[in-house]
Amino acid sequence: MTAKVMLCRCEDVTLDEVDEAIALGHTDIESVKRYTGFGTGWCQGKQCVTLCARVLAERTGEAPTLPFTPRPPVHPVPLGALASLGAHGGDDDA
Amino acid sequence: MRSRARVVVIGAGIMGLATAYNLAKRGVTDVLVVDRGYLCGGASGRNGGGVRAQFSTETNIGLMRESIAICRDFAAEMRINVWFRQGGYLFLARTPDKARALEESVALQNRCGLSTRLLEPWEAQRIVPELSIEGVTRASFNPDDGVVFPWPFVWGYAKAARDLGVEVATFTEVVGFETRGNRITAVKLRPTTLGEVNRHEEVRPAGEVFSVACDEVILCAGAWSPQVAAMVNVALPNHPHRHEICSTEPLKPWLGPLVADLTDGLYFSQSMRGEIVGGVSVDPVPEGIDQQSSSAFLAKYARSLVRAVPRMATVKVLRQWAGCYDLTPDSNPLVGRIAEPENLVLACGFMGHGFMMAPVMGRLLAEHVITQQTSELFARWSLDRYRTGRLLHESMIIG
Amino acid sequence: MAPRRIDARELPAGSALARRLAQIEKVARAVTLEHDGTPVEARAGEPVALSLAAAGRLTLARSPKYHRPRGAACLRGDCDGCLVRAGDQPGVMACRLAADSGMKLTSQNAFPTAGFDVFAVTDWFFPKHLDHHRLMVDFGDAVNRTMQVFARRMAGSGTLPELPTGVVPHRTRDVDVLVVGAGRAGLAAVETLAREGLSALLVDEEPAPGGAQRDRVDLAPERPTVSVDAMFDATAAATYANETLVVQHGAITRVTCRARLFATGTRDVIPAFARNDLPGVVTARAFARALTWGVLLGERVVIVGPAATGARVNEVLRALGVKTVYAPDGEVVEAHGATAVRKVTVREKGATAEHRCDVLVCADEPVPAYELAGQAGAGLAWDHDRRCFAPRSDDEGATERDGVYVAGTVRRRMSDEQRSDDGVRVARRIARDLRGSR
Repeated sequence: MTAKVMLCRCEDVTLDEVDEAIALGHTDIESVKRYTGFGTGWCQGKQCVTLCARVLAERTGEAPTLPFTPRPPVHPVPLGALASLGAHGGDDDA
Repeated sequence: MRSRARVVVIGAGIMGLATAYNLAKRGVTDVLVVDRGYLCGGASGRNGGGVRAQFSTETNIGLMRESIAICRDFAAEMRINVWFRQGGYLFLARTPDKARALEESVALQNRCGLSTRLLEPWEAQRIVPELSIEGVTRASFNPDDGVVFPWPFVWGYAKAARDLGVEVATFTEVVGFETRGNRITAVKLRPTTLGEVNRHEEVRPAGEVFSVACDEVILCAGAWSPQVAAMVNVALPNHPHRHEICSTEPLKPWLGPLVADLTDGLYFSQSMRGEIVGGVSVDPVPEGIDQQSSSAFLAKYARSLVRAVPRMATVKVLRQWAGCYDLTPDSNPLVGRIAEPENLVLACGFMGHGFMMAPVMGRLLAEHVITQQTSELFARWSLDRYRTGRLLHESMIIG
Repeated sequence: MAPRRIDARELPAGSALARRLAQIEKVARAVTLEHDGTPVEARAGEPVALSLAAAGRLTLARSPKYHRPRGAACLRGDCDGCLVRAGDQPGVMACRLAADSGMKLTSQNAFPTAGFDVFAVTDWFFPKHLDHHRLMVDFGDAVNRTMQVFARRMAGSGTLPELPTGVVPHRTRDVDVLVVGAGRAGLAAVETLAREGLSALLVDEEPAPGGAQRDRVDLAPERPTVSVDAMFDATAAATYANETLVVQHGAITRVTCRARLFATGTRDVIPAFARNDLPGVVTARAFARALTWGVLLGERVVIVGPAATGARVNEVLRALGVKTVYAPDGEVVEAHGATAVRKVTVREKGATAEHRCDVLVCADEPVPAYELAGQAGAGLAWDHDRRCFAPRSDDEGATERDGVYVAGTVRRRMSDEQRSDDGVRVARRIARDLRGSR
């Protein structure tokens, strides 16, 4: 296995790739996310947002302001469970 | 930033950038594109990437054929992959009126030279064997339609435009206009921050407002267009309409076409990464610009999708998000010069298919600005139709 | 040496971990799973990722682009490391799946196996990174299109289930306060809320209360009693303006409430260094969690980083007679190995040294699990001290969104006692606010 520094392991995004994105002018975290795809996989950023924000801060010399918008769900949810919410007749115990 | 530009384009979504690129390609390079957020932050970065010619008006069919051709050549011309995959669009109808609308559009599409086929439900299932056709009465399929990965279009146009001398200024918001007589003389701008853009915080007391003088303004701000136009006292009839999308875990490829159900507004396709990406129409939605996600959407989408593909039930949703459609009362865009101010050109109201139309609209808008001539198309799509009452129609709207 | 199971007798009698393991051994029931066609002995109820690790099966999948080997790294559902197909269901996190007899698990995205994957050549072909934006754009249209067809075939991890399964019915709950996280802060909060006469629902993704304490190798087993309404093995998976979706055993409970308290604690993150994604590179909390289940993830262990979990793990390993290198002030420069970590380069106090190992434990300071609070509308800000994002809150845990509160270590570093105190403090504030809004 090559010596890549993996910033986002779910989507195989390397430090080198984030550096290239920054060099191309993507200097805010939302833009870096979109250009590299980091944070869009299984963990939805739980592992990688911190690492990428630290790299961005180092490269730009500015403290990060916000993470990218945390999108629901925080943990994968099966469609079959969600489908019940769209129907009537849920088991109501409230 | 430059203090004057021949053309200021408002909105660095695909519409604005495609227009700027086409202007520059035709020699008009003194162009400034401004956007209050980051690239791909608006609808251009939030849509499902569908590109189709299956529409119900000759105009849209013709334009989309050209857009599809541009998509096919985009990677080679702009040197960035857009992952255009022509897996076709499979439309489904479950009610008699939707079936009739489908039959009429297919007849028109065939007259226009498209190879769209009207299908019996079992034929639709031959194209997507995983599909449940319970309740489906009619279907149509066009193999030339497809899906793209939307973001590289934005980066591709932005880079190509910049290489030709266009300035693209993100995190720069329009706060007003300077006018003289019947003309805009300058655009007033203000720098924004990620905090403002993402948290929808109230606009803070002006940062450094500054002006950029210009000869021409093109309004490509999508769902934000009415509020920008209002700054120069132009009342536009379009309004934002939240549309939500979600994406599942990545699966090995199994789904060829984009499937769209005209009856409940469900659509879904498989991205190049393997995720099933799709949406469904939800009513009612909050008024105004709202990009929040809702559970009501996930619930309806999941229910529709599991009905359409029962084998998806244990597949998991990884992420949901929302963007704004830019709706007009007659489902057709607002394009071209207006009476007052005379140097404001509209390019908005694209109903949720602005992304797929932008490649061709960019060319038409650039030509319109350069030649100062109004085509028959622009006359039909002009704001003026709301004054004269010559309204239009389009039945093939999804979501 | 490969990972192995340990038993209570290997540890000093009466030590905290020995007592924990003795308790597990007392009730342990042996079951047999199947992984890629091979039978694997396991204990019923333990995380499947640990059953597989104990059987020496560390490499479970391949990564999406470069087909690099993947193995369990966080053991808390926060990464992609242990994804398997379980029965007919793709993309199941094996760390969140309780072992049961007859389970059939299959590797995903591996050709032919997770251990040896021919597409790992991609990793060597693109030693820095694969620029998918510009891949094959310079070789003409035909080459570009062929590449796209190939790329599509390679995409995805699991395959679509073979069989349709039905819609899983949901339940609904309406309470005054939803509390997410049954650690010290969350537990203290629900007790206080109950005393204040409010109805609270406590949810936690673990099978029992305790939060971070459950993974403490230095604490004897304890089962905090929960007198209020609680759901365990239940993940607060998404929260919206009007409701929160809690997923328990594949079914959703839709919770509406007047206030939401997120006592979601922290998570460990593996820092950035070369080959930080190798199987065998794990977080300190993951390593500790494995120990509490009686699984030792390696026999030569390097522990790097200042977090307390690292020191605690080191102490237990010494007691077990396991060779460790402990570098609390060090930082990892590079991990080495082909399909699992074999060696690590560590820089500490200006000196760089290489250590052979079969596990690298990353003991960086944990970061706040802010996502749910963020989705609920809490403001987020950069914490300069911890170099990570954290929710913004006032002294009493109120965020800038009405009805959204945070308590415990998701806010800032706290001692064990401070966490309980914080839970009480924030719960009192919630009670005050809710009385005011009646």
